[in-house]
Amino acid sequence: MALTVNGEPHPFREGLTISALMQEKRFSYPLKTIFVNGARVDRKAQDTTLLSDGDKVDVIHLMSGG
Amino acid sequence: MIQVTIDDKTLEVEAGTSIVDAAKSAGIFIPTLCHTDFLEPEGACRVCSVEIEQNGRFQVVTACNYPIRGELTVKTASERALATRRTVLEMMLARWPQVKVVRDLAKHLGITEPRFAHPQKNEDPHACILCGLCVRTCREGVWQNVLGFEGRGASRRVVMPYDGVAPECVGCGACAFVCPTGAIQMMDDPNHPADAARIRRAGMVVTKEMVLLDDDQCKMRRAGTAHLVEIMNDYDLLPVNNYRFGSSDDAHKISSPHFVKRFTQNIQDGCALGCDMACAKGSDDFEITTGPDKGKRVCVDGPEYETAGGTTNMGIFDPEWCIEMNYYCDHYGVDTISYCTLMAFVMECYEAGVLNKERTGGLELPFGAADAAMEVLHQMARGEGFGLVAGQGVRRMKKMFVADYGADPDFLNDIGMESKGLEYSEYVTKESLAQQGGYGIALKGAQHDEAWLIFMDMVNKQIPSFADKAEALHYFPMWRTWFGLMGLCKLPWNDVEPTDNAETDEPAKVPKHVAGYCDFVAGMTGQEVTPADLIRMSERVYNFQRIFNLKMGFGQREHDRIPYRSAGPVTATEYESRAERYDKQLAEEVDFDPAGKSTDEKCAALRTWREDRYEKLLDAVYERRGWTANGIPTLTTAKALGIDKMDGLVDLLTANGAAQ
Ligand code: SF4
Ligand code: SF4
Ligand code: FES
Repeated sequence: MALTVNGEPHPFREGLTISALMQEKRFSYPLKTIFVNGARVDRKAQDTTLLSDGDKVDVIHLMSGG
Repeated sequence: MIQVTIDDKTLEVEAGTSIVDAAKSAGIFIPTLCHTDFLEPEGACRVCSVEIEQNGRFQVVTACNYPIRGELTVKTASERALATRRTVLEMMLARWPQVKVVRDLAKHLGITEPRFAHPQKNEDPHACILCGLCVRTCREGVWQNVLGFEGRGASRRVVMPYDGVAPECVGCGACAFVCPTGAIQMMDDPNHPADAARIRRAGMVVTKEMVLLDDDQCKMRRAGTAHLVEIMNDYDLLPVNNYRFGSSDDAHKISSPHFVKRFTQNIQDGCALGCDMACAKGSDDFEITTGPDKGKRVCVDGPEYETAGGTTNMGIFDPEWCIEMNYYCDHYGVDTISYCTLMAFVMECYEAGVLNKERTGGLELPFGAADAAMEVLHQMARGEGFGLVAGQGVRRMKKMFVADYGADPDFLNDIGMESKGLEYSEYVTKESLAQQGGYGIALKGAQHDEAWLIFMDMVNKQIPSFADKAEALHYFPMWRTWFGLMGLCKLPWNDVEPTDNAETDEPAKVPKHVAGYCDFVAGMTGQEVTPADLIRMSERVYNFQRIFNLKMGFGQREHDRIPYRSAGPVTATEYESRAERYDKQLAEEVDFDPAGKSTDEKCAALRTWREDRYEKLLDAVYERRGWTANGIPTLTTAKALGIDKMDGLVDLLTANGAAQ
């Protein structure tokens, strides 16, 4: 039971949403784009999108700052 | 979601959506005049009138500022709606018969001549039609709030305070840009740009993004760069105890809400006149508790992220202390980053026994020694005591501690966080090879402002190979150098990003904003430029600077060395703090079985591997840049960039083995 998040394994559990995964990973940076199995997930849908076992999640953080 | 029927279309919208936005998403046109997508709707002109039916009641409302809260039927072209619009437009046409937007909107409704005469008829084609867009843009977009309405009824007009020219007007031209009639004319621009409107168009893109997106993105207007404290802590990038660690359980004590509470100057800042990002913050009425200004209530410019990150780097988690240190650094003319990083070095030396109370003039300086650290700052300014030592910076302190106290030079070189003599800025680079290069290769010394690649490299894993990292370490330093060439701040480039940025080919570059900068150059100079042209401009300057460094004794491979603390764990404690990560790396990437090995053995194996990778990175970057293996631009590179005509340059390159 595992997801792949940015190339690394991450434990999967039933009912895991994208937002919850972001909290588990402590991915708190706001400028990021999330892809699940290659498809982009809209920001508004992240609280409700459920992940499935084996999903490949890519969280692309954009740079900011000086 | 709420169901709404607009004319013959039924759709679901989120509660609070305006009728105008709902209609737009259904492809139905409702005319507007005083409304624009990035400002709070005001409902001033009534051009957008529509008829709604809710619970059996019919009503004419303005669609731009009517939020949909319950099921609703909208008729955009009912008799009553059209009649309202016609009356509005007829009155406007009667008053401003030559204004194009008014004529167009009237014509759209079948009105060519009003049926009555208006007592204030104004034949000026550029008359102000009192839509208020300029007032709201200046207030909500530019944060300058210098425009307002004066008078009532027929004498109502747009003015600056006291009907004069307000000194607070930054001349940004946003008001003139949004004005639908051309009523506002900017006075002669002393810079004489080739095409001012083009520059303004590019600028307005960012202004709109700031209004619409900043609160969801980087909160630059509200928190400024201080918002990074908690984020860096989450990603293990916040320096703690001289970069030993990247996070701390105490970080919440100094996170941005503590600063935001103190920021009273949430206004457009003077850092760059007219900048809508307004990230520079100030803490007003702050009471100073030490030093010459003790007891005074002062205004402090800051703190920025680096000042807060530098504070945690000393093991101090006190926001008030941080603001006071910020104040005195500014007051004394000391750079907060250098001060924090050199103090973190001093504290580690103190804990390691290199320094002691005798050597510091009686000051106890372990990590977290806030009062003593502040005293060192005062001593530095007074040119007294231990301040005279610390004030010389990390590079000189290393030499002095070896010569005077017999300290181990290898240890000091490992933990003394400087490169080319400049103290590191406040990010932990240990787990990002590309960022180590970003600091080490930077021309001015250990600064992240040429390339901040930690997310791309360490978190997103987007640049895995040496060639990928080298490409990033070419493009981004060149791109960021370009801002320096123009005298522009680079934050508006990527501290707010267009909503569709993720769908572009290269989101990390923020292509739409790069295109905006091309417009800026073309608008300024009258010459069309491509993104590649901008990079070319930087390459010429950057390579010239590198050659200049060479001439001054700094431009070779040996000068791009970095302290090992920035590339890996120096001490066993550091290794243990991330043992899982390091053990895994040893097993998977280094081909070294960590099982049963002592921490020292593991540290050593990891170090050999990581140091080798840094050297390989230098090779890859130098090659990408057209430099020799010793990090010197070759004559071919200089020629290709057209900088080879400089006096003495050929001789210098030849003497340094770069004549090819
Ligand atoms: S030029 Fe800018 S600051 Fe001045 S009034 Fe217009 S919008 Fe406001
Ligand atoms: S000056 Fe232009 S933008 Fe301002 S109220 Fe008049 S018409 Fe509208
Ligand atoms: S556009 Fe709606 S009232 Fe002006």
